[in-house]
Amino acid sequence: MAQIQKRSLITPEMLDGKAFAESLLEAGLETGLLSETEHAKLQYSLLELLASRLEALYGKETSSVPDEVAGEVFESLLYTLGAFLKTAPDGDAALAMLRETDPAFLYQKGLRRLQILTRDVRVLAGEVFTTRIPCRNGFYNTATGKELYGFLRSYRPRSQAHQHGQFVYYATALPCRDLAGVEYIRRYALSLLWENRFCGLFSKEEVASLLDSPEGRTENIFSLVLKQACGRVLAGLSPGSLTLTAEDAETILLLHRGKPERELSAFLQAELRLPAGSYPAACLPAVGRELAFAIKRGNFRGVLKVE
Amino acid sequence: MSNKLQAFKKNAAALTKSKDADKLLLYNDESIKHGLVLTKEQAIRLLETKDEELRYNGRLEFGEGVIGKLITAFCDSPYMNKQNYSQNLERLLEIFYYYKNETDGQLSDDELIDYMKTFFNGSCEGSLELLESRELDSLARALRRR
Repeated sequence: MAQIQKRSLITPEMLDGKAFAESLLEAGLETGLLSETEHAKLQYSLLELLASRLEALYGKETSSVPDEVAGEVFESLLYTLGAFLKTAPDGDAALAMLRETDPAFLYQKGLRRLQILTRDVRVLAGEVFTTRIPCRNGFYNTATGKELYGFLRSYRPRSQAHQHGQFVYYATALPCRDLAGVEYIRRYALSLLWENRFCGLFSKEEVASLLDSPEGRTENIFSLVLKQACGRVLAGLSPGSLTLTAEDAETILLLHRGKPERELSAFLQAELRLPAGSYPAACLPAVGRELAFAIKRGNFRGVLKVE
Repeated sequence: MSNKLQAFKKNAAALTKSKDADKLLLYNDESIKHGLVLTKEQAIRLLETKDEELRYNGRLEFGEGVIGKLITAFCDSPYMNKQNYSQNLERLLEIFYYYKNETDGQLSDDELIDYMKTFFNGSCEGSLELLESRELDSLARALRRR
């Protein structure tokens, strides 16, 4: 017998990973799961929670704070609630949790979750550091060294939980646009680790040689390595090495000129046998696009290192 | 103010007003000893003034707020009477929030109210104009120079 599953009225598209609690309230109103009155009451209960947070943070000295300070604490509070509400199986369940549970209790649960995520970041920071690629890319070296620890030292979950600082300058191949705070940093650290592990599959000498270029000192290292490995595959070679000769480049042009970008990506996906949903697999379309453009142009300058 | 906070406050404002006015009237038990009483209308007006001043000065209040502290501090002043009590409280609220910002958080609520009371009952002899334009202005300037 076919199983009947309840569908959530609040779909993932209605929810914002950076502002989960606020988007949940709006989605509740939009889907009719919340009436206008219930919506206003929930907002009021969150303001009461804000008042108690401000009291805990500043109450010994003052009964009022500048709007900027209150706004910052409020964003932090909503972010913390959202971090816990995200653990619900779907949007409807998250809204039910918000409606039926004391916001102060949800906030405590949220803080606990942030603590667990912060602990994850600490572990990941260590792994990122030990797997880092020896290179002269200053952005990469700072990101995989000082920056993650810097975040851990400066993170303030009780007043600025939603902040992740402005210090991450080294862009990973898959940018993280839908998270903030410690969730963002955790994803960033995980991305760095995936990238390091992938680059670690190749010989250190070959990676070092590939990075000995202006691009290698500023751009995302993993993307350069993945592109080069894909170049090898397009030339009919094993992706275990990163060396490409002028003859290999000619072969790529001969074999793949005129192929549409999607076909090229599908070919790379099939040849590299990357698990669906894996980090490198998610990066393939962008690499395929860049390689397709270089093939169309007829040269690989700035895309592949050809010896 | 952060847009999020502003939106939340706008929607929730209607839920609070009457409840807050009732709380404020509890201070009549203390002020009546000095012959001073707030009516419910005056309490609501005082709360509206507080909201306006908070908005104007870009501040958000939490907890019990400051009106009760002002009532407790000023209800025994020789310069307060039935005729000026409610209006003076409104002016004191304006002055308080303005100088809370001007002193840049260097004074706690209690410290600022202490200064206000000392000046009002002393050198200002009950003049709110002198309190604001002379004494507190000098105090704020001195604090900024620190």
